[in-house]
Amino acid sequence: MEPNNTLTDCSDEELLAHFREGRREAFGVLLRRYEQELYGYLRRYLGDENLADDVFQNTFLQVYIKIKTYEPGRPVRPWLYTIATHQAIDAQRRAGRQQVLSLDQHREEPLDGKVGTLVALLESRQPSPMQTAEKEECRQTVRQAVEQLPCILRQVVLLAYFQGLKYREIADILNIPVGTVKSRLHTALLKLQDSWSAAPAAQP
Amino acid sequence: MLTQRTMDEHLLGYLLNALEPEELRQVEIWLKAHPEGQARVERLRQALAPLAAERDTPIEPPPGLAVRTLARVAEHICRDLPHAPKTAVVRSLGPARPSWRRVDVLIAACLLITLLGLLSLWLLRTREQAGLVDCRDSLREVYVGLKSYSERHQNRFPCVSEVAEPPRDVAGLIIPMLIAHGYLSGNLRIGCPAKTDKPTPIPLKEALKMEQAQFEQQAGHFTPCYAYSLGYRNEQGLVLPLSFKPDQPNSHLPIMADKPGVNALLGNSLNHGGRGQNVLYLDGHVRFCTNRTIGVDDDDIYLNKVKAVAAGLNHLDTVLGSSASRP
Repeated sequence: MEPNNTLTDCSDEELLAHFREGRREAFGVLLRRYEQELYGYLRRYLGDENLADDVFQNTFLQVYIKIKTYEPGRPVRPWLYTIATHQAIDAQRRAGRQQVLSLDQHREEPLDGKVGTLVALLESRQPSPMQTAEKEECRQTVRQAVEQLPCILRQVVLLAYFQGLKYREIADILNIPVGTVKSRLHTALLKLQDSWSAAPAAQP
Repeated sequence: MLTQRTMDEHLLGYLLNALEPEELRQVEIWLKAHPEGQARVERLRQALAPLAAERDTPIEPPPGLAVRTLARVAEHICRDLPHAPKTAVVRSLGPARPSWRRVDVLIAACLLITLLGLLSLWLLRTREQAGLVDCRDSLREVYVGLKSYSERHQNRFPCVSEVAEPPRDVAGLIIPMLIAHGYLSGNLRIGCPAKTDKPTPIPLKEALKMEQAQFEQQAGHFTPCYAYSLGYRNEQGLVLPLSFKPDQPNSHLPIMADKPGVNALLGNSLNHGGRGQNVLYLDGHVRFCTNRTIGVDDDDIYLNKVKAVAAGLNHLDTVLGSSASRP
């Protein structure tokens, strides 16, 4: 299918423009382009392979349905993440998995106090061929710590750190002020440090 | 005045490249004016460090996710449209508007065609993989018989020239011979599972009783899909079979494989679409090889050193002949 060769060189915005004009294969190209990235985001967000699979499909179904509401020229990536995040939230609500954040646990303590622990953790985890299994265990600890974050904190960590989105884009996706994004990310990092420091495997 | 927390929030954004250009510029100005800020940046970087291992480990999507997604979209297109919301009806003097517009039908048809194409490719690929696995298992099953034979014959594997006298010394009689002598079950399917034609093995006695003309006609069907070693000639010109010897590269010496293509001089076997051939080695392992020069010293497994379909020139010169081939 010759047209796909030129479509693969198109930007995301151009692809959606082509799709709006009736070039159906542009939809497939966009789907392939974001398959790994978006699935990875949803997998980390939801902590469940099957749910992530389902939500991924629903995300692109919504892209198809809402294509007419897409404003030409609008950045596609944040738009996709907006749809994906809303689908994930809905899926969690249906599955009864929503978590309530206790803001009382928010601390003003600077990160400095915990950095030493983390550095020690890293040093005790210096990877070597003999310690590959320990490195994998450490990675699992980190993954679990992220999955156990309250939903509204996990969102910002995933979007900012793992998916590399800007604060303003995250604010648009989550429909919250930029200041709230920054604050939540900082709080999330504090909570992650608590988790890593408390993990039994972290003890030297 | 900025609190330390607020500054940390900005510095986090700076580290993650999450700031807008103007914010980034302000942070850089602040860092230049406050050299101690670099130490805070470094501490924040270390605080984020444990996340790096997880971020750098990609999460692969499950197989077929894209196809399933297209299927869901196609399903949405093809099911009944929901009822229109109850709103004030405006009477129109023109013809009633169809529920499906032409462009909707076109999109649905194209998506379905794309989906069917993807599904067909996936089914074909799955079937090819299953055929490869079945073929490999078939060769391993034959190896059980070959090994049993070799254990009773001083580690020598069956020799084509010993099954029958010329001109009936064809490679295709090896498996009927193994069946006739109880080394293999008569229920063995001698066709490559990846091919559709799987004839029952001809009894050895029946093959040897044939008139020569009929024998020549049928020789290609005795073992229709596989090629067997034609052995090698010693200095006296005698054809000898392959033997299992501890001091030779048994794991690199093929004894059997998918038969060569129509033109035995070049190309892969056509049993698996020309992509390669399953090869059974002397030590019993089977490997799928995408080219045919995989014998010892890149030896062509279907031709001898002088590019002939005949016995090898030495014990490392592998030649696997199809059913009608002779040493």
